[in-house]
Amino acid sequence: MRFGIVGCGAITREAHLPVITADRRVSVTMLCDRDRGNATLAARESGVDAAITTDLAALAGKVDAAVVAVPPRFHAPVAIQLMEMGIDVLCEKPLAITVADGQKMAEAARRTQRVLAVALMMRFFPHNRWLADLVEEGEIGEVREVIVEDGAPLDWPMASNSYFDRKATGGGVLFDSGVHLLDRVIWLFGDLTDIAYEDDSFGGFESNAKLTGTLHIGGRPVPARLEFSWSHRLRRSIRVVGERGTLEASTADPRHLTLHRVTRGGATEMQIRCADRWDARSHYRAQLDDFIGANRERREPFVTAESALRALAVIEEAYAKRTPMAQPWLARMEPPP
Amino acid sequence: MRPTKILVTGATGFIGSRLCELLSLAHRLPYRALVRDFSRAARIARLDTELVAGDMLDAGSLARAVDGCDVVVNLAHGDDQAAETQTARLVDVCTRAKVRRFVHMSSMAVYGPSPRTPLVTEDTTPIERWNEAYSDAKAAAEAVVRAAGKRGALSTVILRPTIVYGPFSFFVTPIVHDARQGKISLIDGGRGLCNAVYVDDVCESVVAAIHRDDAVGAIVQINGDTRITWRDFITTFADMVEGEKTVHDHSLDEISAHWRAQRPTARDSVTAALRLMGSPTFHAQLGTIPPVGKVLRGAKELLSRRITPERKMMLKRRLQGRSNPAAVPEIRPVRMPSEGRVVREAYRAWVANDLAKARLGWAPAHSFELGAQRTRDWLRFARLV
Repeated sequence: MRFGIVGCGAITREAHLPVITADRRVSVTMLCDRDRGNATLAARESGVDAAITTDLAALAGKVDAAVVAVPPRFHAPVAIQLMEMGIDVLCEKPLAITVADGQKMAEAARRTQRVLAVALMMRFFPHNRWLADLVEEGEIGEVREVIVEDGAPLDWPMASNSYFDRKATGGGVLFDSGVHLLDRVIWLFGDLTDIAYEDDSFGGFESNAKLTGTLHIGGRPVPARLEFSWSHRLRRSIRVVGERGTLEASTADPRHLTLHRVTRGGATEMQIRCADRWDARSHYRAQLDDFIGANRERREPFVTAESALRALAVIEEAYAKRTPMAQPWLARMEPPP
Repeated sequence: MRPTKILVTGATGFIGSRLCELLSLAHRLPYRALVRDFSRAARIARLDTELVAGDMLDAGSLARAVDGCDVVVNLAHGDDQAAETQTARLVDVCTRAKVRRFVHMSSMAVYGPSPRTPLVTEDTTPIERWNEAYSDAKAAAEAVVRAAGKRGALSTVILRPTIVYGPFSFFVTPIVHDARQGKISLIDGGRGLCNAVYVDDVCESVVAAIHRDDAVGAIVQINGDTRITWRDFITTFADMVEGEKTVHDHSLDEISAHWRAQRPTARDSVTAALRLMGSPTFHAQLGTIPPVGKVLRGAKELLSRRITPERKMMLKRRLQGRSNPAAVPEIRPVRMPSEGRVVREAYRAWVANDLAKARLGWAPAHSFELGAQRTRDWLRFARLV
């Protein structure tokens, strides 16, 4: 299977290429980036002997599938052009800037009969299904709340300002980082309704975001709170709080679920093993494996564009309902009129 | 003067980020922020502002950044070794661009670690070579700006702030992290004078230096009005953390003995080797030797299975010496204070701010109590207390 990579920035070099080059079923034949230097660096670092191009059209007939890892605003035009050239696409997250763009991508996949998979690789975490099953089976009793937190000082080696450029991306921490956990929560527990949202932006890109809403679990409404930060550390996990304990799926440990429960002996934690082996690249390998399978078997991928649109719709609604987050140390600061 | 456009260098730093917030939200002044590393720009990217890529050592990028600006606020310091050179480049670019006001952020560090006077003033306290890297670098950079002002190349204002604290301050967060682990660390009983000035007051002195025409040529010290000791400063923030704490009071004799015992160790060599191994240039060179390149790629793949790609990139950045100053290790054993910390906290002099009040028409608006309260608000937001 001939692979092309479109967009040779950090995520391609550090995550996609090492996994793809280690898979004997595929060979990377084209590296495409508007900055030839990025593509050359990717080739050198990975040891790939691929043709380098700055022209997307050059991939036509030369690759069977491509990873799209360009800035989010270009996901839709690039992925649609590739699919129209007969190329299956594994598209980085978030799927698109808007739901409308994402729908156009999904429609293009149907029209061209191409595979369009979304790189929401945390969906492959082994503890996801255990979390949903144990909650459904009543392990923690009636669910009272779902708490999602993900935060750390932003430390991504970005080569340009595309993270903070409206011409390249669609939002800050909610859009870029929050989408992973938001997507998982919606995928596991269904749609989030009654949305309220606040963030710390003043006309720019939020670096702290708080989203609340209602999930429906076990036929009952359950309040959900999701908080994301690029400025400080937060617990990186999904916690489902029930009447008889809390189940926690930590991003740092996809092999296990933790059950927090207060017993007669006091507070206790139990580790539930969900997989025997899971290293730091396993979810990327599982994602690639699924994508190759979808390509060969002409089936839907595990993470479809349609399913990824649900989180995007929540993000779009959240931004539309945005209210300012309290930042009391700013004192006399007010957002510009 | 009323600026047409201000260029802020060092805009992603502690003072720079706060200055950008104030320029955008309080003063509504037009400005452009120079950014070398966009991963540090999350705080100012919250603002609807112009971020321009550039490097203080790249004259071409500086010229593009300065283009259209009539005021430059130079907050960038960078490496001590490069401070003088990069300041000279910026001064040169600004001179050619006919910038009308150049506000330079120097430091009380120019007076060295231990002024021989109980009251430090701009006119009476000498600036010498102290053989202390930061002090000497700040003095050298300031001298470049002073010379440009004297020869009439630029209208300059030089600010020498003292201990600048507030939200995101690296003077505050280590105290809080220690306190969270049940520790309070003092030097010599915390008797040294802490010339603390709240970050907003420093930023307001910058704005005053831009607006006030009679400030041109001034070199002024920017300090708060509240005289406190380092014990006051440290315990104020440590007490914001709940729980019992143990005070570790390091005497100056104990610290001197510790330093005397220090020799270059094998650990220093290992650290240097690790930094070299993290260097992309070094990797590229090695990778050109085919068998070595193959081994390198194999080793990288093995390592990658153990750590996430995100974690790997963070480690690479740390090895390359680009660690985030706000990030503090989660586990911190009791350790001897660093040389820089001892220099700061053994200070016995008070830094006068009368000249700044007279020349800038400025005065600090935050007592230490108020500044600490604002800082606590942020610490709560950041879930540090």
